[in-house]
Amino acid sequence: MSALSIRGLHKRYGRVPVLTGAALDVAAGTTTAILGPSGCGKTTLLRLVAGFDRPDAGTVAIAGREVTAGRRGLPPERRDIGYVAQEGALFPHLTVYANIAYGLTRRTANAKARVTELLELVSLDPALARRHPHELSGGQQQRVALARALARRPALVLLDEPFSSLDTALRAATRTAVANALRAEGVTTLLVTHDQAEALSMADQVAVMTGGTFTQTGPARDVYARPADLATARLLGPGTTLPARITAGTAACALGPLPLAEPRPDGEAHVFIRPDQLRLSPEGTQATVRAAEFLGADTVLTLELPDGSTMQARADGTVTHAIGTAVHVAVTGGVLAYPAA
Amino acid sequence: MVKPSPRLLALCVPVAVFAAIPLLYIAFYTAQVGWAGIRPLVFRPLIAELLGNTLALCATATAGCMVLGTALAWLVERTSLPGRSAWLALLSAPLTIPAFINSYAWITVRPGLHGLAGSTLVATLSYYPFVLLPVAAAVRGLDPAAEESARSLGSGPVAVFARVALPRLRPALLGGALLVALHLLAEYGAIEQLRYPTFATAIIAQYQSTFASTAANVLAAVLVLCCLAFVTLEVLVRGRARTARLGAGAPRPAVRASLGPWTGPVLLALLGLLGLAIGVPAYSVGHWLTFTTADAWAPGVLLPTLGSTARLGALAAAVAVVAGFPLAWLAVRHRGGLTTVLERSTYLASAVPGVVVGLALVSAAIRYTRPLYQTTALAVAAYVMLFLPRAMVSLRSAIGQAPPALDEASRALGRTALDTFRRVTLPLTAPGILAAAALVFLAVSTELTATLLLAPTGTRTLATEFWSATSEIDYPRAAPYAVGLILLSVPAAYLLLRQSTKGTS
Repeated sequence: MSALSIRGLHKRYGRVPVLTGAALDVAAGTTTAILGPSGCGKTTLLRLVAGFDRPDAGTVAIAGREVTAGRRGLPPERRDIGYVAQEGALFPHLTVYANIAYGLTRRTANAKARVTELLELVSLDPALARRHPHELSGGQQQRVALARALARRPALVLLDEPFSSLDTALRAATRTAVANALRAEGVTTLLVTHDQAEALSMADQVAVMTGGTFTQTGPARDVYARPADLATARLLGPGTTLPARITAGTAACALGPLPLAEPRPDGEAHVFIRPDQLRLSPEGTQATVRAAEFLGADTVLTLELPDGSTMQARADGTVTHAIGTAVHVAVTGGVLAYPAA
Repeated sequence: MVKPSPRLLALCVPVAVFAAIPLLYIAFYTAQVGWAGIRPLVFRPLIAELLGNTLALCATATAGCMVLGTALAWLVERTSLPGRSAWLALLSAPLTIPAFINSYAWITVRPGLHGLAGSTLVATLSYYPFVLLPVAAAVRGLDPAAEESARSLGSGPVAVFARVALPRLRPALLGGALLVALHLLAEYGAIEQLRYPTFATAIIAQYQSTFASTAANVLAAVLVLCCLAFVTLEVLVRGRARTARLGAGAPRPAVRASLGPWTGPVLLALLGLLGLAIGVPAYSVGHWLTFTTADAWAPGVLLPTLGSTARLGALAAAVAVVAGFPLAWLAVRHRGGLTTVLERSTYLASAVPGVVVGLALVSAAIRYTRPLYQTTALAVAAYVMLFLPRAMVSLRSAIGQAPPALDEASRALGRTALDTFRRVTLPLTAPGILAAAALVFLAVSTELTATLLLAPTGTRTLATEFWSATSEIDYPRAAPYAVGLILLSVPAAYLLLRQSTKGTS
């Protein structure tokens, strides 16, 4: 049985349709990341699951119980969920301890031990319990928000871009702490994000959302390896798009004939090549260095092919490539191809 | 944004309509009397004289406040003036002295003072903080980088002030000026003592001779038109560039202009100003206190007055907060066309002077709800109409302290809507609610004109007792009430000062 099951969800604000028939299943104990560009409706979906807003049509079932039944649906407090908002939404007038214990009732045995346990779970010093939210860093606030959401042992945890307000260094550390805590609790999680690294690293299942519906759902590796369309491929990471002609399983493009990752019918197409697939090699196509961005271990080169198309390739950081010099570039592995519209 | 529920609207619409009663009544009454009835009452020399007097005072005193307020704001915020935060508090201190006590004080030291000159002097000294506070806050919020860029582009200091700083201070400056002008339209006590006839004084005089007559109501209608004209004028002059808010990230503090050898003269000038604005009232009240007889201090005289003042203030504060909370909630949480109209309607109604609200309620009560006439309920209704916006300002910022994300977090943690309100919303908004109640309480305690018109016969408040004593030229008997009124105004002035220094610091 799915811990979360969404069927045909529709929602519009005024005349703007935001969700147009979204459907999704999340298996118990797993993490699903909803990945999509901003404005695709992913946060709206999360709010409908949480019960902060009502869908126009469609159903949401949490742990087998339909929560959208009836005119108003089940109120959020009876949905058995945990929710972590973008900036944590800690109660500013309560201490960290009181924040985490907020959802516990008087009947909860040993609330104090539970709070200490939760602080440890999210890798926070128990001494922080006496502090107020404004005395914590952004990353610590997010961890407290997660501890608070987990306190009642909910059936489903909803994370709404929980790391987007943190800077890069904090983001990675907080992400690891949160992922570990979620795994330790074995709780079903729905994560909304527009950051592909976050989605791929945290989720068992990735659901790609564009224009109010899910366009592709599957294990993170599968979705990354075989994006359903060009937009999804771009969403999952940078790359170069080149026009190509497919004949008998080979794509002919400015980089020469390339093998396909997936069989495709013959005809006009676009191939999509990730930067790590491009290598400088004497056998490759000739290109001119137009820009070089030194990043330490690697250098990202912007290359221009004789036909004028440009692309980015990763090269060894120890070699200097002057602008304007000629290099040879080759492709490793099969490339993704999509029929030209 | 979630649509407001019908239940919330059901709480808000009646409050907005209630606040608009005086305006609706005046409009309805004027329509009923008809053009033929109005014309002889409006187009007569008296009205022309009143209009001339009122506009002249508004022009001179508002201009005075604008110049004085802006100059002081710049001195305090952008120069090397020693002890600047203390100066801002000191220069805001005239807020603690009701204008009618200020004129009482000035008549004491200069018995011949009267007319436009006297009124301008007293009004400017009483009301310039209304310009000083918002402009000082705006100056603090100015990003000095814009001015420095202008300097680097070749403008001199004066040109920079005129071309870069002033346009961005305009919303604050105009807002303050509008507040001063509306106060001047409404001011009765101070101007009556200085024997300068304006619409407000004429309406009361008319009321005292012919009660709630057509003549009084027509005067009120003309006064309402002046209010609407001022409000419209402010909107037009302010233009579209309304928000002076900066992006994220605090601007670097500005480099202060060094006063150098001017420090001494500037300090002397500021002390002189304080002498005029606070020194004169302090001296005069002290002077009359020495003549105050013991029976004026008798607890049997003072305590009932204090008691009834506090009772009216507390009632009005409670009603204003309860009535204003849903409206403020609507305005913060459900922004939209309808909610803006509802919220604005309360502001517009309160721009109408107390004397008009009082007169409208008396006239309406006599015609339609006779049993309410001469009751505390009617007086409280008038106070709520007049001071609801003061409560709204605090309530709105209070509700802003409890963003919807916190409600949602609480609901997701298993708390019902009611429980969430009690455990999250209320604790977070409580300080703002108390500030709102305090502001209304203090405004009611020092209110004069609506109280004179509406309070049940025999009700004695500090303001009415002060007024009746000065009307009988019994200045020593008035002095203890003046002290009480000033003491009651101190906390309100402090709250206003804090409100204006909080947002940008």
